[in-house]
This record gives sequence, structure tokens and C-alpha cells, in this order.
Amino acid sequence: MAMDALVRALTPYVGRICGSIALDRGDDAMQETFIAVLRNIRDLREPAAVRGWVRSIAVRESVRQARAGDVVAEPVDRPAPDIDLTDAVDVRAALAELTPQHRAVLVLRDMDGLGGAEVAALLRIPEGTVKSRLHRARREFAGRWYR
Amino acid sequence: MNNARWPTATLDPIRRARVLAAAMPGGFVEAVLDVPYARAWAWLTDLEHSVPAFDRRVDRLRITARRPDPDGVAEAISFVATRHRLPLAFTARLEEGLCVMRARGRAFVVVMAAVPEGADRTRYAQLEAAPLPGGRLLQRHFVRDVQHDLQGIRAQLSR
Repeated sequence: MAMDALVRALTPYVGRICGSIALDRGDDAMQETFIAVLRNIRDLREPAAVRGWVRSIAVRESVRQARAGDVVAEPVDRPAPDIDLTDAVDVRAALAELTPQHRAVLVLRDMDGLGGAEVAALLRIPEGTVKSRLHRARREFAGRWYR
Repeated sequence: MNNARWPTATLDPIRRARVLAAAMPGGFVEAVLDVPYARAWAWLTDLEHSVPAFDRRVDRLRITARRPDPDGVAEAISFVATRHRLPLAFTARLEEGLCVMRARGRAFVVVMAAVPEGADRTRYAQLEAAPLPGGRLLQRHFVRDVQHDLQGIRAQLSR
């Protein structure tokens, strides 16, 4: 069935976005993302743009779910924690120190490889805010991934 | 950073059924069955025996072909369900916890999904829908059907 096939094809990509931004509520965010995708797929004018369209829905739902679940505390300015980032648990722990909005910037820039202007447009925030959030988010991670 | 193991969300079979239910007008039920998952899923996916036992609209179901799906995680099944001597051909995609069945012509879709609910119980979901313009007109009919099927499944599994 085409709908199920679409869900299966997009699952790895959407799973990474939702898991990294919504953390404990990632599965809920993923479910809501696909509901929104399938309900609105007929409105998608450019089939080639499906990835970007799905990305924007996944980010929106992930931030919404994370905020609803109150997963994270407000950011605190402090030195980067000394953690081992070779393990997924530690990546998750580092992400959990960030707000959903900071996680969204980090995921879009560093996982998905979008440019600052693209991230700003997707999240509807100024490019300067993207930069500051990214700076803050990256500081939460050990420096070796950025050497 | 791109090679980092980012936390990844999952969409289990029940959630996939919910997603499909939200996109297609039809009947949807979700319930917890008081039998372990392995037993429930083994019985449910013995389609030739289970479907005629719980679905009042199916007198007989005969599998005509089955082969591994190219993706390696599923099985593609063709079968014919007969009701009042009227055969209806289906194709199905069966994977662990999820069976998506589609009648030839795509006018009718049935989805069965299950996941373990603890060690002794099973969360089960079923969708029946007509993903066509006007399919919503049949929604009440589908809702009655899936509720009746659920009663039949409970009765059969309690034996």
C-alpha cells in the first residue's frame, strides 16, 4: 500500500529527527508527524520536495511534543560537560541538556547538514538566533567531534 | 557529528496502524487482549483459520501465494476471501506485528497490528477502510465491523 510504503521509506529519517529533538516523546512526535504527512500529502505540489516538507513537519511536531512533555530545563550557561560522546546514551544525555529549540537547530545543522539560512527559514527565526543557538548547543558536546 | 549515533524514535506496529487510520476513513479499534503476544500474533496471522473464525463476512480464506518481500523483513501473501460465494482477491504484506491487506483494485484495506503489552498481554489494533473518494460514507459500517471482529478475536483467543 502506497501510504504504508511511504511511511516505511521515511521512517529512518523521521526517526532520527524526532528522536533527537523530542527525546522521550520521540515516538509520539513520529506518530504525529506521519499523521500530518499522510493527511496533507495531497497538498504537496512538488513531489521532489517531499523530504524538506516532511522535515519541517517532523521538526515542528518534535518541538511541540518535547515542550508538551516538559522534557528539558531552560538552558544554563556553564562549561561544556566532560562526557564520552562515542555512546548514543551520552549523545542523548547531552541533547537532554538543551531546550527543544536548541536541539532543533543542532539536528538541522549537524545531522541534516542544512545551512544557517535554511534553518532560520524552517524554524522562522532570525539567522543570528540560529547562530547563537547553535553555539550554545555545540558547547554542550565534547569538542572532538568538531575538531 | 554526522556519524554520531543520534537518538532515534521508532514507529511500532500499533503506531503505524494509528497513522494509517488517521489518513484513511474507516473503522479502527485498539484494545488489549489477555493473551501473550506470541500466541495472539501466531493465531491472527494464520489467516486461513483466523479470519473466517472472527470475521462474520468471510466464509473462507485461501492463500494462493506467499513469498519473501524484497525488503527482507516482510512476506508478500496473496489470498482469496470468499463471502456468500463471492471471491475477493487480496494482497498482503506481513511483517512482525503488522499485516496490511489490500483488496485488488485498492478499494478496501484491512490492517492488523499487535505489540506485546507486558509479558502476558497483547495490544491489538485493527483498521478497515475504503481509501477512495466517498469512503467516509462507509465509516459507520466499518466501525461496526471492526468492533464485531474484535469480539470474535477475544472469543477465539479465550478458548
